[in-house]
This record gives sequence, C-alpha cells and structure tokens, in this order.
Amino acid sequence: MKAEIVLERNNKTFTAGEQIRGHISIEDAPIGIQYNNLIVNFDGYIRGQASVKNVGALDSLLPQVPPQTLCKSTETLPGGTFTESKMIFPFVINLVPIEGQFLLETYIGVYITIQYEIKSVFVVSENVKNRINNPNSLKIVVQVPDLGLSEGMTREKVPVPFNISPASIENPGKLSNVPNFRIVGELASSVFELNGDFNGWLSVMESSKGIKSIELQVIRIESITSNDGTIKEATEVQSLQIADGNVRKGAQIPLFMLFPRQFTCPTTFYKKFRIEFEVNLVILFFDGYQITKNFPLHLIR
Amino acid sequence: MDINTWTIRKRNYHLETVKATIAAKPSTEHPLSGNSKKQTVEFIDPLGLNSKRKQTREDILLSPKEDPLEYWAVLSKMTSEKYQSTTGFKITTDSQENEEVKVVQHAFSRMELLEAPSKHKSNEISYVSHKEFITHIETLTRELDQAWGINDRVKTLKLAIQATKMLKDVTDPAYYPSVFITITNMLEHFGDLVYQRLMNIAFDGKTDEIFLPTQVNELARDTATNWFLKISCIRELQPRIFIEMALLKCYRFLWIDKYPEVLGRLVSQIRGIGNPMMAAYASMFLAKQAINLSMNSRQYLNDLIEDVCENLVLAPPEQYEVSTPALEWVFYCVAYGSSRDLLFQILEKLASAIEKQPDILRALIEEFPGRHITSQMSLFIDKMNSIRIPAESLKVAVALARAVYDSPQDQDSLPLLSTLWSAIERNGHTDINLYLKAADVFFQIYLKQFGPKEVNGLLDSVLALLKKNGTGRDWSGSLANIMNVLIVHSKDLSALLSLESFLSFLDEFSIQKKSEICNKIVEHYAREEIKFTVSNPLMIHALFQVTRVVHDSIDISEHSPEFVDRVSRLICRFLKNLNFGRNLEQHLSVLTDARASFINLDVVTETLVYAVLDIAMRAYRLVGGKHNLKTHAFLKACISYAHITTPSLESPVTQFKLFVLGSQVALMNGLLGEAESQIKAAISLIGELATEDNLAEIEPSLHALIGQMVILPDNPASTSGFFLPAHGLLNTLTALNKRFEKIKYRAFISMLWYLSSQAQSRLPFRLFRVDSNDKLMSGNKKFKEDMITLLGLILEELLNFVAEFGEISSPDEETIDILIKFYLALSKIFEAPEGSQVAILLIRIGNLLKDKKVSQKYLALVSN
Repeated sequence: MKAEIVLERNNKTFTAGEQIRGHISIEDAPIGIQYNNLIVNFDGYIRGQASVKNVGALDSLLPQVPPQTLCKSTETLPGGTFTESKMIFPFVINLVPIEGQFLLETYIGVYITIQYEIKSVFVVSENVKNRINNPNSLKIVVQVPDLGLSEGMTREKVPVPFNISPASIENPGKLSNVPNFRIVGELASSVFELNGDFNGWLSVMESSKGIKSIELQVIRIESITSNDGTIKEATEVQSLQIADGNVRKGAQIPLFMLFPRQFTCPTTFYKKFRIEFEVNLVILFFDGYQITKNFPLHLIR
Repeated sequence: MDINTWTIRKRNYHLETVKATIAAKPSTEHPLSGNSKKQTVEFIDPLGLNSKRKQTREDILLSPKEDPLEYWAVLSKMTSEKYQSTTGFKITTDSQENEEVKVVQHAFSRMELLEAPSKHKSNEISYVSHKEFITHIETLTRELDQAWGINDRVKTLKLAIQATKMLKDVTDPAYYPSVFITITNMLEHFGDLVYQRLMNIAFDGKTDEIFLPTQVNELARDTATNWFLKISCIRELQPRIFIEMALLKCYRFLWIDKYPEVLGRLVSQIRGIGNPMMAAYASMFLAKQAINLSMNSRQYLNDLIEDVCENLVLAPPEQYEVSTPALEWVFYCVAYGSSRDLLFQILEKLASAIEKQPDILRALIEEFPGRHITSQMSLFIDKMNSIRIPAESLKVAVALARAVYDSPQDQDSLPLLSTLWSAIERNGHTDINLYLKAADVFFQIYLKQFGPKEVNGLLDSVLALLKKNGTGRDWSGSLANIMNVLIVHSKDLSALLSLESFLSFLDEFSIQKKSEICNKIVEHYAREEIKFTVSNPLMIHALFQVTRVVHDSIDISEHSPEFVDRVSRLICRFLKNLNFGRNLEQHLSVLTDARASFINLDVVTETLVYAVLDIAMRAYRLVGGKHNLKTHAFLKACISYAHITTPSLESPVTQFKLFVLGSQVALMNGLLGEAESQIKAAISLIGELATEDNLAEIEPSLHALIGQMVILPDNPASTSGFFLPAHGLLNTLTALNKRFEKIKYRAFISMLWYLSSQAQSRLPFRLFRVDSNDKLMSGNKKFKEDMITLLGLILEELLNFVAEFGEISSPDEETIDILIKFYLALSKIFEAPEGSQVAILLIRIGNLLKDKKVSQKYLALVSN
C-alpha cells in the first residue's frame, strides 16, 4: 500500500489564517482490511538545536531555545474498510495559533528551527498493522503577513546612501596596503520585504588598485539568551558576486538579489531568541586586499 | 551502245519550272503552333540561371539583415570561424570558489553545494585544441540532455553553470568569440529545454507559442518561479546573468509586462563585468535573447549600447578588435526597426565614445538602415572628416559607402559620393585592401546609378592609387572582387568592355589570374543573349584581349569539351555581332585579326569563314552586283580569306561545305577562277571524306556543287579541254570504294542532268553579269564533243548499275530509288523514239522493276 499526503496548493506555502486543504491519497490499498480511525495531525513548533559545529562536552552548557508549540490541531476521520485499491481522504486544517501564541514563519537556522508539519496515521488493530503504510509527514511553508514590522515602522523605503573610502574603514590593517579608492552607492532602503527584492547600487568612483570582485552577502544572526548568558551565531546565507573584475569607473552597478526562501525570515525578536539580518558589501582588490562594509537590515513580510 | 546516236531533248527550263510550281496559298495557322504555349508555361530553366544570378549578387552584398535570426546565424558562423583558434584551450573544471571572500567563518551556503562539481576534482586543468574544446562542450551538452532526461534538474543547472564558467577561463581573448558562440548555443539549448518543460506542464505541450500568463496553471507558475529562484542564488555574476538570459522567455509563465524592468536590470548587471570584451559579449547575448521576445520597449537597448561603447573605449586594441562582432550585433538590434530620430539620439549620446574610438561610428553606420544614414549624409561626412586617424576615417568612409549602396540613390547623390570618394582616396594608402573594398562598393553604386564615364573615372582613380603605392603586395583578392562586381553589375558586356581603362585594369592581374577572370567574363556572358552589335573599335580590342586570353588558356586536354564549346560559342557570337555598317574593309581586317587570335578553335574559324562570305555578299548587295575595281579587290580578298582559311579546319565535312559555299559566293561575284579552284578543292576532299566515312554527310552539298557547275563557265580558250571539274569529280567518284556506290550513282545521275543542261541553248538559270556556257560555248564543237564523251562515261557507269540490278534478287528501296531516278533522268534528258536504244533501255528498266516485284507506287512513276 502506498499512502501520501497531497495538498491542493502545489507550492505548499500558506499564510496565517488560511485553510490548508488536502487529502490522503491511497494506492494499492489492502482491500477488505478495516481501520478504526484516520488521524490527521498538524503541528507548528519552535525547536532549538545544538549547533552542528559545537557538538561536544560544552554543548550542554550552551544556552538553548526551549521547545515551543505554535499551533496544533487534530482531525479524526471515522474508520472504515478499504473497499477500493485507490482511495482519497480529504482534510481541512485551519492555520491558526494555539491560544496565547502567534505564528512565526517557517525557518531553518543553526540553533533555531521553526516548522509546520502534517502527519497522518491510520489507526488499525495490531494484527494488520504490517499491511498498512502511513504517509510520510509533510512540512508546509508558513508566511505571516506584516511579521517583522514592529511598532512605529512603515513599509516606506528610505534610501540609505553610503560612501566607502580609506577614511571610512574602521580597521584598516597594514596602512601601506590601503588603496586609494572611493565607492559611492545607496541601498534602496534599510527595510526590505521578503517577497520583494533587495535593491541598491554602487559606483566605483576612484580606485588606485584594480578591483577583482565585489560581493554582496546576506548575513543572518541568531542570538539566544538564557540565564547562562547570550550566544550569537552569524551565518552567511547567500553570497552573490555583483562585480567581476575591474569595473568601469562611474558605472552604476546594481546591488540586486532575491532573498533565499527558508533561510531568511522576517526579523524576529522572540522571547528568548532573536533572528536578525545584515548585508556585507565585500570589495576585493587584485592584490588580495579586502574591504567589508556592513549594513544592518530589517526584513519584513 | 553508242551514246552518239542518242539525242538530247531540247528543253524549256523556264516553262518546266512554271508548270512544276505548286501554287502557294497563304496560311493563317502556324503548323508548329500546336501546344507550344502550354510548354512555355511549364518551362523550367534547367540551368537555374535566375538563381545563379542571385547568388552572385549575395556574394557581393553583406550579410542578410532583414531577419535577425538569419543575421545571427551568419554573424555567429563568421565570428566563430574568424576567431577560431588553432592552439590550446584551457578547460578548468573547478568550482573557483574564492576562499578569501568568506568573511563569516561558520558559513553554510547551499549554493556551494549547488556549485560544487559533482564528479570532478577541483582545479583540474587540461589543455585541448579548439576541436577538442567543441567536443568537450558537445559532451557537456549531451550530459545535460541526459541529466534532463532523468529529471535531474540540479545537475542540469550545474552543467549549465559549469559551461558558462568556461567563458571566464578563456586565456587568449582571440578565442573568446568562438567559445562564446559555442557556449551560448548550449545555454540556448538549455533555455529551450526548460521552456518546453514548462509548456508541457502548463498546456501538455499543446498550445501554440502565444499565451497569456493568466492561462498558465499554478504548477507551471510555481515551477517557473523555482527556476528563477534557483538562478538568483548562483554565486558568480556571469553564470548567474547568462543563465537568466538563457531563460528569459520562461518569464512569460509568470508575467508578460515586466520585461522592460528585468531587461533594464540585466543591462545594469552586465556593468558588473569588468572585462570590456566579456561585457560586450554578455550584451550581445542579452540583445539576442531579448530580440526574440519581440517587445515594443527599446529603452534597454539604448542603455545597452551606451554601456557597450563606453566599456569598449577602455578596451585594449586587441580586445576591441575581438569585441567588434558583439558591438555590431548590439548596434544591429538597436537599429532593427528603429526610427531615424533614434539614430540621432544615439549618435549624440555616443559622441564622446566615438571621439575616443572612431570605429564605433563605423559599426553604427554599418548596422543602421542605409536610408537613415544617407538622409543625413553631410552630418556623417562631417563626423568622418573630424576623425584624425586616416585609417579610421577610411573605415568610416567605407561604411558610409555601403550605407549609400543600401539606400535609394539618384543622380543628386553624385556630389556627396564624390566627397566621400575623395576622402577614401585621401586615406586609401593606409589600408589598400580596405580601400579596394570601398572601391568595390563604389563600383556597385556607380554601375547601378551612373554612366560609363563615372565608372571609368573611378577605375582610373583606383589604378592611379595602386600605381602610386607601389606594387609587390598582393591585392589580387580585392581586385578580383572588384572585377567580379564589374562583371556582374555591368548592364551587359558592351558596357563592361567599353570602359576605357578596363584593359589597364585587367593588366593589374597576374597572367594566371587574368585568364581566370577572362574565363569568368566569358562564362558570365556566354549565358546571356547578346543583343548589341559591336562596332566600337575600343570595345572590339578589349573583347579580343579578353577572348584571346581565354583562348590562349584553353588546353584541350585539360578543359572539358563543354567548356571549349561554350567559349567557342561566345566568341562566335561576338563575331556574328560585329557590325561596321558600310565599312566592310574594317570588318574584314577585324576578321583577319580574329583568325590570327583564335586558331585553336575550329568552330570560331568556321564562323569566321561564314562571316567573311557574309560580308562579301553584303558588298555584292551594296553595289547591286556591279563591282568596281575597289569592291572587286575587296571581294577577292574575302574569297581568298575563305579559301586559305578553310583548309585549316580539322573536319573535312566542314571544309567541303565551306568550299562549296565559297565557290558559290565567288561565282556570284564573277570571280570565276576562284570559284573553280574552290570547287576543285572541294572535290579533292571527297577521297578523304570517304576514308573517314563522312561522305553521306556532304551528299546534299555534293549535289549542290554539281548543280552549281551548271552555270560555272568554262574557259572558251582552254587548251586542256573543258569540263575539268566534272572530269575530276568523275574520276574521284569512280575511284570510291564499292560501299559508297549508292552515293556515287546518285551523284552520277545529278551529273547527267548537269551535263545535259550544257547542251541546251539556254541554261535553266543564270547569274547577273556572269556569262555561262550557254553564251560562251554556243557552237563550240570541241565543247560538245567533250560533253558527249563525259556523258558517255557516266552513262556507262550507270548502265553497269542497271546490269547489276538485274542480278540482285531483292533490291532494297534505296537501290530501287536510284534506278527510278535514272529512269526518270533518261526519259527526260533523251529523246526516246520507238525502237531507239533509249526506248529499249527504258522498257528494260521498267521490266526489271516489275520483275523485282517493286511496289505499285514506284511502277506508276515508271509507266509514264
């Protein structure tokens, strides 16, 4: 027997408050066998996890995010007999938080994971259990409108101009290596919608050394606070080359990218953890000299 | 039998002719008109003349620009051929991750997973030849197809990324274009795969190309979105934008209205490519992909060309050179379907770039429609004149010339063209080949628009420049192109040959090349009808030069008989078209020259003899048969020309015919000795003709010859007897092998008729101002005796034939025919009173025929 959870919506992406419609699809059913119930469970949860890199003795000492359920529902469909080899069992789930909670977006991080999962089980008597296969659980993607938009914040885009020159470098290293350069540009905003794109531009106005590459990196910072202290983990979630080689002086080069799904989410401040984002503009010169300019971002849905 | 007892009938030839004449009635119908009309309709030119003509034109013109796809095909082929490398290519199959870029140490990027090559070890570099490189790409494409086939989309994308990365690995800029073409072909293939898959998802592959995003189902939309999300996180710039460009048309599954925005973004993203050449080619690919979308908005193209130009200004010369195909393509896309106003906007925007790199102006002029360029010709000429580097100025001038060629011109364009040409001449020395290319275009324009005077002026100017700039370098390729233009674009051969400097131009070529060219001229015009008559001495001279070169280059063993034949025919056609009006002497002298020039071609020699006989008769008509001293001498010259020339022909058949004709012309013009000697010459050929078994071919001429002897006068004062040609003929015929006896007997019968005519007081016909034997020999006893003797000899031969006939059990029709002819001749020529020898002979022949059971229709002839 083959069983599968099938959603009406192909991209498995839902917005808070929506109904998740789907069905359990059965093929090669063991005809004649009875099942007592068909249970469809839906769970949304936050789960902390030890960083892959830190597994070891110290691990237990580090602060962790306590597990938290965001939503939960169970639908029990009445029992019956498998009468045909192909059968479907429709279900509807309301995507609503449990009381006292609000929904967060699906997210897979280093320390923190937020997931929404549908599971389904045929309840049968012990003696026929081996003839029944239950479908694999199915994770859905949840998006929460306006999430990240904290109080007093608007969606209005306020450009963030910038100017990078030797003078603006905080930590110039060996001074003799510092090339003479001036890069001007602008981020379209400091607040970006995840459904939209990241935007901005830069122009290399002057540079005494050839530029080898310019990259735009999205950095995610997870911070977890506990009684033992706070840990902060920065992860590069996307790095795009936006200039390859010594670009023409004065040419406006776009800072354009799409936000990677699931690895980004709205900027989140939750009880004991935070998920924040930054972009780095990394300018690499031919001689290996490198400058990084960091911009904090606020991501909203 | 004693022939002397036989009496020759008195005959009134005039009356007989009148009686025998059948009254002719005018007919309204052409007997051959049947279904000839139908046939004309169905006629298919077996030589494909028209298409051939077109092809030659295309050779000269530039690439086809009406259709972008066609143009791309030509351009890409040219590009990859031109920049094909012979030496090594570097293939790097690494992931080229820049370790130092990772600032954040505990990085986790799934793009690294995506970009890591699945099998190859990092930094595996191999050097391969261009061919091997292509094979490598083909292998990648195959792998891509396989991966696609098993639904491994991640691997497919990886392979596409891997291929695109190779663009960056090209070490020598000279190889870049061909690598670019190969790789973008693969990318386009990838784009097609994705597009087709989406079509299948959306419409089961059923719908046509035109659909709206709203018609697309959710699954196809999601799939398309996923593709673009995947692409958007490709780490390296070039693979990211190249693959997005390859998938541009797949955006149509999501929306239709955002192309201007996306294209605008891609244009600006290309700015991130620091290498001007690579940026130019990326732009080329973008323009290529975008032009397929058939969008109205063109803003992105205007921005694109600006970027390309500003980048290329910074490029080192060798990179610039390699980038020109890309530059030209982008210009082409900008120009495609554009307006005149746009041209000026662009020109203004690019002004500073053009100042730094004048070649940009050249590319612009070449790619915009000629009519837009020429509408502001003076502006462009100003721009051209402001270029300080002569070589660059020359290139621009050439481009302008092409623009003029591509747009409608009229007589008014001459001054502008002159300005342009003087600029070209001024700077021509910097690059002779380019100069010659310009000349090439100018010739095309001039030949189309102006007269021979201008064309010749141009030719002189080219020759002068070539002379001034020394020889020793090889321009023959370009010169040959110009020659080709002259040949193909001249209205006809006369137009070409009447160019005064044509021969000097021809002399610029090496001997071998010259003969090639002359052959080409001959080949080209041999196909055409010659509708003009040749009389201009200059032209005749040129014509002779050309045809002589061809003639001299003919090696019968090397050239196909068809070719020799074609050349011969062409020369013959010239000769037939010579026309000097009343100046026949000049005509004769040309024919004499021609004879000296074309000794190797029998057909030509034959034609020359015909031509000379023709002008002889023209002279006859001019004087109305009354020759004066001068025309008499001219005639003599003509006849001896014919007489001397004829024996040089190889074929005795032709010789025989020409001698007969020559003798007729001579006789007609009262040149009796000449007539007789040609008749004799003809007769003397009979032996040879028999040996070569060609006798049957000349039989009609032989009878004509005998017929002509009727009016050929004998010399009354002859001491060596009369009927000398007839005697000669008799002897020759008698000596023939038995297998020619039928021809012989028929000739004898003709001779019977001829000889009997000599006994009449009035011949059946006469020539104006030529006294024949009826006047000259009237009452000459010796003459009559000789005639009777000769007649006897012939009759004897024929009687032998009759005897032989009796022996044959079943004679064939031809033999019967001869006997009947003899019967008819006997009964007509001689009196046959009852009981006479003739009468008995006639009865015997009649009985013979009855005995042999000859059919009634023959017997009917005899019984009268």
